Amino acid sequence: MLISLRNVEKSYPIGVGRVYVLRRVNLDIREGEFVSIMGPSGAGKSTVLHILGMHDSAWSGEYYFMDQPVHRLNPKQRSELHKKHIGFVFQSYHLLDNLTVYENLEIPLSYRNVSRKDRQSMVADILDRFQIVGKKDLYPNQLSGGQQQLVGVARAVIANPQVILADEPTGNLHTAQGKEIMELFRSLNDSGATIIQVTHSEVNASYGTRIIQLRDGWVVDEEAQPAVGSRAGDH
Amino acid sequence: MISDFRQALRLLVKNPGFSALVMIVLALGIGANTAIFSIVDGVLLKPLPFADARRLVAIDTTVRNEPDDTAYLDFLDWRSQATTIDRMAAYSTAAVTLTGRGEAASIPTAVVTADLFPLLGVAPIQGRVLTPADDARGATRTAVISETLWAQRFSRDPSMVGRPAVVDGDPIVIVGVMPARFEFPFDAENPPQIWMPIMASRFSAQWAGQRGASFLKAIGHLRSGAQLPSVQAEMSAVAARVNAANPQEGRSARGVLIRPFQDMLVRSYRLALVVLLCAVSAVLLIACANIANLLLARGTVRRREIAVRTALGASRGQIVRQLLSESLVLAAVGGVGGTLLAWWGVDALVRVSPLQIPRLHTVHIDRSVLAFTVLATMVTGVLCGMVPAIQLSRANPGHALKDGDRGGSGACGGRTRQVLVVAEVALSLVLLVSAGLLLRSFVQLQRVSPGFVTERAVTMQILLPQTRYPNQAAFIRFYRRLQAGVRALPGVTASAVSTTLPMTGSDIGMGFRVEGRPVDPNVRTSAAFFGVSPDYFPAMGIPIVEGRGFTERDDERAPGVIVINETMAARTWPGENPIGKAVIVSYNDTPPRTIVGIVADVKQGGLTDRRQPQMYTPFVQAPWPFLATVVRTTAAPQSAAGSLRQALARLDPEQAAGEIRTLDEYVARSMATPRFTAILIGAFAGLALLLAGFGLYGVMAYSVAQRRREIGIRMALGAREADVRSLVAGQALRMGAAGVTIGLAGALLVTRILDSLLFGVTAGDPATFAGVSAVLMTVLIVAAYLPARRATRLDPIVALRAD
Repeated sequence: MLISLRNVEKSYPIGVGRVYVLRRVNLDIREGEFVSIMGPSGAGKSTVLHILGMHDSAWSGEYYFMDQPVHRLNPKQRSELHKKHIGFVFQSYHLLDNLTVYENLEIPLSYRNVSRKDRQSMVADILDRFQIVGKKDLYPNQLSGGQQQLVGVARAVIANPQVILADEPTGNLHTAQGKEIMELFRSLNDSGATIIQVTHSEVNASYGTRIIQLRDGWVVDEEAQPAVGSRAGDH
Repeated sequence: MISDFRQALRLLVKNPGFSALVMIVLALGIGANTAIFSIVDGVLLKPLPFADARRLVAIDTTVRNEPDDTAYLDFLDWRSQATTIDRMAAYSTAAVTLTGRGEAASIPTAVVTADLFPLLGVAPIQGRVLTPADDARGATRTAVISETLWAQRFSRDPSMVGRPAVVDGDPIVIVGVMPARFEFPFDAENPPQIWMPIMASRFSAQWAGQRGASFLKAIGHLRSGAQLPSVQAEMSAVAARVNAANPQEGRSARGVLIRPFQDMLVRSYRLALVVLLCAVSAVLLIACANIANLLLARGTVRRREIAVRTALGASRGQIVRQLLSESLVLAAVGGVGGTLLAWWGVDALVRVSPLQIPRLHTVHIDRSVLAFTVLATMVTGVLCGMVPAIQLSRANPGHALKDGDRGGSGACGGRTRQVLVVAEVALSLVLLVSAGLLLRSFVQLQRVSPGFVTERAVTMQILLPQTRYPNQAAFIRFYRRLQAGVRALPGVTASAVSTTLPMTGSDIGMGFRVEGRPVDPNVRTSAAFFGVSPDYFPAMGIPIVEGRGFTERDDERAPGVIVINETMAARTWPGENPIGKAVIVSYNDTPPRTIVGIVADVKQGGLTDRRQPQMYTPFVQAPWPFLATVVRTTAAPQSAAGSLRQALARLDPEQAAGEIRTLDEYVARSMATPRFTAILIGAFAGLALLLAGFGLYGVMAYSVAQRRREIGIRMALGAREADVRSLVAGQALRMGAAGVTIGLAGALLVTRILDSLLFGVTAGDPATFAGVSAVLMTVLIVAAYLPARRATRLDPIVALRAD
């Protein structure tokens, strides 16, 4: 199993009591899956994603990532695990405004101590693969939303992660751009990447293999999607 | 790392206003620190420019444990008996009259023993240094001159070496020229230009034969391996043996004190300079706290960026490194600006510094100062950036990355920012109290009367060479002609003559005993001694308290008379009237002199001097070859100085005028160090006050911006303007009050160090503490008022909608 959550809970103290954001979440995700987490606002979707992405460490329960007990790892070990295996895509792209496209793509590699020479070739590869070579010297504010998210996805995959976490990746895009990004995710999934996305969109969810429904912090439903051949985008 | 700096640089360029503000504050802070450090380094830290300077010691005679001058015969005994000091030399300063090749000039001179030059390890640029043969009594008179004098007076003529010049009327052979950089003894105002053996000076040669004539300073070089305590022990034993072999009046109270030479040289200025360095460092620290606050405020805006970086795999260390690179880049630019400011500022600072500080004129920005600046810049960069970097790197990226997050202040150090402001206020208060105490002390000092009237008084000092003025009769003749010539000058309303004038740095101490009282051989009574003209007391404005002053009838043929000051009267004749009593002054065993009057005390060395006994005799009854004339004039000091010089030239064209200054200048000189310290620390405290006010304003303005929603809700619920104002101002005042309380406690501890710099005010002076606290609180109230007023102008609808 690639990812296992066991009785994961997250809560905040309010006055004398506590407010629960997640309640006894149990979840298993296998390698190569394309999972969509859905649910109304405040259901805890993004919280689950950030726990999976190891950005959030204030929770209880057990989390196994590639058989490693994340709940027992110290922050440095978690960071190493995260750096090695996980890429993240955000709804608001979250490109760094002061950096060019090239530099934005280079950033994750520099945090992984990749040598300068290797960084150059990896960035060149990804620019080529995503067909954004012509944009490499532009700043984020010189790109359209779709282009920014394209860079965001490129940035998430540049270090070849096994898992890509996406938090409403098409939330700020119009339909055509959103479709393009979802196609990209599907092709990444086809090439072996495990994808977990948070989405409100049934259409986007239909690109995945499984949907997990959350409500008020509880996992209320899990349903498998039709086989890959009949998934959205193949229509 | 390089990309961290590149990104930091780009970020700074993108925020030019913020960057410029921070860099200006840092440039001022680092520049001021560099400038003050360059003085501390040049004066206190740099070894003296002599060979093996760390092993040089000052060897002083002590009288009742106070350092004093040494007699030549004592020095010879010390030198022959000391084993832990391998070289010893003695020196004294004087002024000589140089004639021939231009008009007669008074030249600052050092009389030295020949050992001085090898001891200091300095070589001449022409000819040779003095040798022990030059030191011998009866040897050909020789001298070494400075490169400056060689250039100015002898046009760098190499043939002058080996030829005689006329010094005080005597031919003295110039045997060598010392390089311009050679300075000894250190005297920034009158650096010696001639070094001559003790025996080459008629005065010194005469005094050198008397064990009671203390006129020298001694310097020694420690033998390899000798430590100060063992040297002190040996020299104390040597001094005791010398005392035992010469049982004379008061000698049992004499000892010897060994100190590192450099320590002795700078002892009067060390504390003031260290205090200034601490003050300017405190200003930089306050500036750092301010910048840390600004970075924290900006950090709140950058939470998303930091969270993204973390989500992309940046470790906490990498985030801290990125943020520190930004503050280091800011500090580096500030450091460059600061160095440029210091380059200019050091010259300005040296110009306003008290001239008496040794080696001050050699202070400049050099490699060691630049190394300090680099270090200060790096420390500044880390201090400014560390707190924001740690705070920001601690933030939970999960929260910051959730879309719709408003970037609240909690994670970005709301409390930290308040703590920083409290620290700033506390530090500012310590600095302000210190400045307040030094300023009050300076004001008190200005109120001290020197005991004489300084207005419109010009003085001229004269040293009569023995060749042309060989005896007392010649001194008296010159004195009378001088008096007549000066009185006749236009604009002169009063004039007088004295052997020495108060506060000019020269004085004569004389032992005395009361006629008819038994003499205690262990106690030596002495007083400052002045030979004055009859019109001295009215001309100087020194009030006669009892009896009379001198008249023309008190001449050389009349019975000896003396006037004493109130302190001498009170100490020597407590509860008695001394008028009519007689004292015997140890001056050529003169007959008893009758006390005819008591005058008010006069400050002798400086305004902070304690009262000391003083005695005056008519000049003609105790004539000396050095004298000073003082004139009160209606003319401008410059033209009066010219007139005095001309009057002297008419009297004796070969006689050089010594120092010509106004009495005001002498009094001002005695206040130069306290003035310098008070002004500088006052300026630093002002800057600290401004920064603390600015810091509080920044925090409050930011807090108001952060609390817009809360304020909007309160106003929507009916809060009045006054309620909102007190909400904001209350928060500011709580911070201010906490800072002031901590600062007061800190100031109570810190100001004790200042004790020896204070005059007429105690280190815990309640008025200063209260006044300064009030000033600081007022500034803080103003700083808090502006954001509070802005808060009351918030439109609740807009504030709530913005949410």
